[in-house]
Amino acid sequence: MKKFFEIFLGILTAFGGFVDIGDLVANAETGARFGMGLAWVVVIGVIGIVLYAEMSGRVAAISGRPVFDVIRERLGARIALIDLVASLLINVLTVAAEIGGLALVIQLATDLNYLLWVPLTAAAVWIVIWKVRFSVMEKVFGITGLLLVVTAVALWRLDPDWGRLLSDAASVGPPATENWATYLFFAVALIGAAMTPYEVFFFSSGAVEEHWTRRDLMVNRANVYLGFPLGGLLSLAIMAGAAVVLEPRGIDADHLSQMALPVAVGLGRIGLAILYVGMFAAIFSAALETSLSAGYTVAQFYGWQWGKYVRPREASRFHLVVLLSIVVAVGLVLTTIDPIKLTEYSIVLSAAALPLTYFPILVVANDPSYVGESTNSRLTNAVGFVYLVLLLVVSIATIPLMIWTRAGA
Amino acid sequence: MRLAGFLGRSIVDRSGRELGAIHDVRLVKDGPPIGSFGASYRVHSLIAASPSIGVRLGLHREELKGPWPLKAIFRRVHAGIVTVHWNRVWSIEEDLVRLRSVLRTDEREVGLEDDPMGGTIMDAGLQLLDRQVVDVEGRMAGKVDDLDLEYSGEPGAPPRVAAILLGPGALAPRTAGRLGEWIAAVYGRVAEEPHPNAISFGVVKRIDNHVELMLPRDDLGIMGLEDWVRTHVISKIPGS
Repeated sequence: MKKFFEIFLGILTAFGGFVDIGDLVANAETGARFGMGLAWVVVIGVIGIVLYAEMSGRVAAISGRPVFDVIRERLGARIALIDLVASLLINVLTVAAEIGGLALVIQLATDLNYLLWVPLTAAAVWIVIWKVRFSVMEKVFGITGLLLVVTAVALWRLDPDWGRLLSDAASVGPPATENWATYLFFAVALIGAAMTPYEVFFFSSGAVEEHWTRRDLMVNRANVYLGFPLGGLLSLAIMAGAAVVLEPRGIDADHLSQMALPVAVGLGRIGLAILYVGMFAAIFSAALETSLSAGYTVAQFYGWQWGKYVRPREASRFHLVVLLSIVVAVGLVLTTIDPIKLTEYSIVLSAAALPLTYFPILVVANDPSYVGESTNSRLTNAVGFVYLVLLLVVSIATIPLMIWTRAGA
Repeated sequence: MRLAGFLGRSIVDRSGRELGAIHDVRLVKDGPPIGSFGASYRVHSLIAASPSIGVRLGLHREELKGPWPLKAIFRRVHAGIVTVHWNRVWSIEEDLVRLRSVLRTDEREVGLEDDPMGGTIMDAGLQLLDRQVVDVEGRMAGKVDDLDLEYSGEPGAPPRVAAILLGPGALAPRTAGRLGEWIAAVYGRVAEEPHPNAISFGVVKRIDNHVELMLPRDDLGIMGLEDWVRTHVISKIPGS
């Protein structure tokens, strides 16, 4: 019974914690510009993260080795260092995007300028990391994030033409108002948003934080196979809401307030209030995850003690890195860069860095010296390999597409 | 001598024909005893191949289960792996290792038959380098940034693994080329000891997916940076 409850709670946490500022922005923007024309990319992204998060969780549970240990062990110190620098850069950008996003949500609720809220929310993020136990932290914010289900309810209340949404989702290619390059650029952004590397850094390190062993493989599978796809459905609901409400009216989703419109139209003020709380919780949990991931990756590269399962003074350098990345992120947001733009860059650059992180995971998940008997099945390997090729193509295409389309402008 | 000094170095036979670059150093646990670790790991052979990718990934090993396209590619690439016993090495020069005899072009295993291996075999680059070091209390103490290989015992005997090297003095030269050598040199001047931090292999308890030590990390004299950050930053924050 206890085990069942734990698994159930894990699924809810993965479900509510799946969506972050990157998913919110990418899905609302593409919904507003392309309708459901890019929905299939979300499905591809979710399958990808499910596949690789399961592998990284399994490797961590059985061998005790989180993802960045594996990257260094398999790619060697030099390439791992390049990966570390790239990942850390993207990670800090993402922390900045999340903190900016949190401040924007409060601005929506209070009408006070978001810049005022940036230092406060950042301080709150750091205090939670410093004081709150890992499992409590993860569950409280993840499960509160479930309030985002309001986006799906609002969509249902809008009573859209479901047949048309489905047929739009089934057709590949840009609408008449957009060109192929922009279409592909946003496809890359959606993949980056769904598969951001910090998710596997955090997920595998979390497995070590919670002292997972082979006995927890069931929890791993439940989290990933149920929680993540449910979270992916929320992404699709956000996209569909934008497709139904924003696209026909020609409204772009450049601001968080526009992204909230579908819920406001579908459910009114109460819906909006629930949405704000849900967004705040989901983005807050992502802010915790990304800040911690900065510490995880650096500490795991250098072999320093990391983790919240020891007292901060026993993992001093880890906590210093976490603190510094929050400080740098705050600095970035306070330059008054638009946090939504920051988010767009962080997910697109994530897409470019994907193969370096996912390749070693695929290799090690096949290595009995790490996972014993529990190596990948043939199916996992077949799909995993196809994804590796796909991610390689995506990473090569990302930067040229970004320059060509002027970042989707 | 450091392990990383071998990796990537080219290897040529007596006639000067290049066999490829050294990708790994095979060790066997039957060297002269070291501390409580028992028999030490000593160098058995050098593993060379060209081109270079893939060995560190372990993709050439039979036991790896897939994915098959990767295995197939790397099996072809590594059909040319040459394993040369240590006693066939003639000289270790600036950027190459020279062998004492001329090899046939199809020779894949050179001099291995005269050395019956009496203990556990390990490929240092694949199974030891870059692994996590964990102390007796389960606290993390750094990575195996490099290995110190030393000659011991009778003349002509192969070098053995004497110590794990870690910290900037060991890692920087491996990662950043010239800049790294410079960092290591600066570190050597700034640090109290001119050499990189070292942990004797005599206090290694077990080698698994990580290297487990018999001592707490604070007794090893390698936690300088961690201690500094704790004293000057972290312990000043309430609740640390």
